[in-house]
Amino acid sequence: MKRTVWKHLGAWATALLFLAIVWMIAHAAVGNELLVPDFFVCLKETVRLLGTATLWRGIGSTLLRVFFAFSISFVLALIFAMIAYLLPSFGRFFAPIVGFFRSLPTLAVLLIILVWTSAAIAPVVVAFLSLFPSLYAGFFAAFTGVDKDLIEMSRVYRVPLKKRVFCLYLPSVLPLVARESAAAISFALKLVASAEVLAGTFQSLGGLMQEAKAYLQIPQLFALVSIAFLLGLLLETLGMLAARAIERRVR
Amino acid sequence: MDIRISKTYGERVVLDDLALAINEGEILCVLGDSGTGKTTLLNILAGLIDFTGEIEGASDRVGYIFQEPRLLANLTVAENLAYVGADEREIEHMLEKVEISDCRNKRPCALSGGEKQRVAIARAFLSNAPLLLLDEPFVSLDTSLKIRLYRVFARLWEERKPTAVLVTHDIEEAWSLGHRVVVLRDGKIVFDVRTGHTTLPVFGEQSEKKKALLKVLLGGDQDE
Repeated sequence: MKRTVWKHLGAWATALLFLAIVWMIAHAAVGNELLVPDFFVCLKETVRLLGTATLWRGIGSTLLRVFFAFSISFVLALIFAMIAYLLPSFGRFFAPIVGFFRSLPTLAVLLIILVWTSAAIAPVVVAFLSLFPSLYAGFFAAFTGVDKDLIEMSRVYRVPLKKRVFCLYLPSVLPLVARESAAAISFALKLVASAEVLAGTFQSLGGLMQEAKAYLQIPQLFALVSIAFLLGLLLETLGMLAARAIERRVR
Repeated sequence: MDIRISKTYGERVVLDDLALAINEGEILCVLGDSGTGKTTLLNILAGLIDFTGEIEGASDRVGYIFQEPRLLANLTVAENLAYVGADEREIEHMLEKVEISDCRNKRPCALSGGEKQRVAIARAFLSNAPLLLLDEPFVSLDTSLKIRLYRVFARLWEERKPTAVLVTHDIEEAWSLGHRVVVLRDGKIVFDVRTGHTTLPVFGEQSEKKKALLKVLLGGDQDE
């Protein structure tokens, strides 16, 4: 177990080192601080930013939006997927609606949402519009993936609903739901941060990026992007660990 | 139980006004080629699919031994049996009878094919249902294991003598385990014979009735 963890950490460290080397080569090749700033300057800027309250406020408010967008999408996707599974006619009616959500050019729609709401709320709505259809599809697939033979056997033996839910449905559905959710949460961060950049949301990670770009503080912009990347990585890793723990527990 | 049922899937008639009287406490074996509606008949008796016609004296509780054991992979053998409502004492007792007490805490993935089918048999008998349905439960097992499971099944049946309907392709199996054998063809019963067996299972018996049954299975048409 420990050996596998070290192997993974080693792989990640090597990949990050490789990216840093590519960055350094690109910096040397381009030779323009405004296009590709020096890696070590950006690293210094990252360390400086991590010591400021502004950055942590920005991270906090972005994560709060991620949490809201993910929670609303998760709950609604779960409810609608369950209804679609139990009532196939509703599933057929709902499929084109989900298809419509899926095909929305989300960041372009942000402009319309900004007319209706504020720059603080719009990123949450944008993230919801992307997360909901993918989570719904994942959850619906998890429900329909429950072994039909076992459902039939449970019907024949008149197993009470509570027992069916805990012994048959949850062990089958939970690992898939957890895996979908783990992938969705880091995707939510990408969506929220991108929407914040476009909306220029005050006191947010995306808002800080937009500010750095406007004042041509390129090392700060690169530092903020790196922080967002590492944050996404952290969320994805935590999500995957939680998903694996759930899978081990129920299977 | 008196049955008069029909079942169609689209244009295809699977059971064509099939009439059958099943006596209480008998083991009725249903023989027939693939696609003749044997499993459909069991699924109708189990209440799993709709049909037209009527079933008089139908049981509201059934025990069903499927072709595959259909065990929950995340539960142990004992938990699989508790899943259908059996209590600890009954489970212990039943595991002894089907000779897999040592598998009590194992999960299905750690069991052999024969052990899994024993759990399925135990589950069906633990349901205490007055009607047992068996859909080719021994089909994928080797001969020696099959014979051992015939004995286990017959021993368990002997205790409460529930009515049982066993669907099979195998004439030897039907003749070994049945009090009565019917042949299903084109959605109808084309042959109905009593084996005359009182203690089960019976192996290697040769009789005129069995020869007649074989003849029907090979293509002839005959009613007793």
